[in-house]
Amino acid sequence: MNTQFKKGVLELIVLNAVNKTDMYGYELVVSVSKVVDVNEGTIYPLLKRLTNDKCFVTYIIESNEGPPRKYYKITPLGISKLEKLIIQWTEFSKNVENYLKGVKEND
Amino acid sequence: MTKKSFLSKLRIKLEILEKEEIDDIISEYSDHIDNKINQGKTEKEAVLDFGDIDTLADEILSAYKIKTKKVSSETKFETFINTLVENCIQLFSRVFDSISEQKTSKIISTIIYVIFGLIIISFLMWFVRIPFEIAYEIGDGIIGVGPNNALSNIILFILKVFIEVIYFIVVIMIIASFIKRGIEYFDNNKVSEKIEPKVDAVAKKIKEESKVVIEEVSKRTDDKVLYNFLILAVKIFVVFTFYIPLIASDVGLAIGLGFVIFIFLNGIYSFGLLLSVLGSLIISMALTVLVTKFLFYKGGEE
Repeated sequence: MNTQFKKGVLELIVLNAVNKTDMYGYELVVSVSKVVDVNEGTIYPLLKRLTNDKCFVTYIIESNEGPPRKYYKITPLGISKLEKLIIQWTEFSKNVENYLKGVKEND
Repeated sequence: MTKKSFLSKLRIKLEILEKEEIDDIISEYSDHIDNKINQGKTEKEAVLDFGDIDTLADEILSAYKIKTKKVSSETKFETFINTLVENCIQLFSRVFDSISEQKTSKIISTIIYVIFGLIIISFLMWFVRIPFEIAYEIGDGIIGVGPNNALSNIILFILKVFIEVIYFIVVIMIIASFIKRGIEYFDNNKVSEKIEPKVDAVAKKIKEESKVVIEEVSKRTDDKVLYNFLILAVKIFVVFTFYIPLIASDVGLAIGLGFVIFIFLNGIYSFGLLLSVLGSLIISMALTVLVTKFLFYKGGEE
């Protein structure tokens, strides 16, 4: 799959996933990988960046199965960014689809 | 790479950050690797899934708005040489990849690599010689117009020495650049050989990335024409210096083999002679096949 597509849409997917429910790192990677196949290494830096940009906050939960886990939670700022991205994505993909349909009709 | 060495290498690359941040990041990756191991992957596989550690470190740092620029200390001329060499290497590494899909032995792969490497180097040495010869001829022509005395001979001599020295430096740079790229390429190749031949996402990613690199390299040269011309020139060179002699030796050795069989039938049992002719013939034919594949390979199609 095209790497450029993936990169553009990754932020949107990550924000959406955490918006649905708080998640810890590995859980998030697994769930995002179901939507697009990305290098797992790139998700953590993205999480870092979104946290530094105040779109996420983190909290630790002790786990019985192993080491304490760091959970990510979306902030109001994160939600507003998510909404903006969804609008941009919808418009973008709609335009591309219409363009392709238009090309097909003219064939 | 083990988990420990991966994490410590990563730690070093992130040392510009505050200790708390580094500890936080490292523990996250450590937990991730542990989770993957719980899911059944080996340490090596879990680390490989992260891809290139430098790229990863750059991405992490970019989250803190730290831009890492790789400063190239190459002069324009060195860049030109490197691009030239890179193009040749990309060319034959593509050939090599298509051939090596049928090969299973690492030793044979190394031998093929070295052979093609020597072909490319000798081609480049010959090819790069041309402008120097032209320069010399021009110089000779200009000086020859003037009076034929000791002074003009001295000037000519100095010119010749000057040209030879520059040519020598260029050749050394080509060989050094070639070896450097060869080692990089070979390391990438070794990594992809360790992965099982079953469908594996990492192998695909590495191939994807190297394809992207190849595309970027061939886009970087301003002239696609130059690139194609280079391929053609390499092929012509190979035909004359290797292919024709190889075919000649195939024919000669085949005749020799026929002769040995003939004298066998007449009672002279010379096994030493038989073995050497047979062995040489096999090697010669193998090389001919290789060079044929190289020559008739349509570069660039995947």
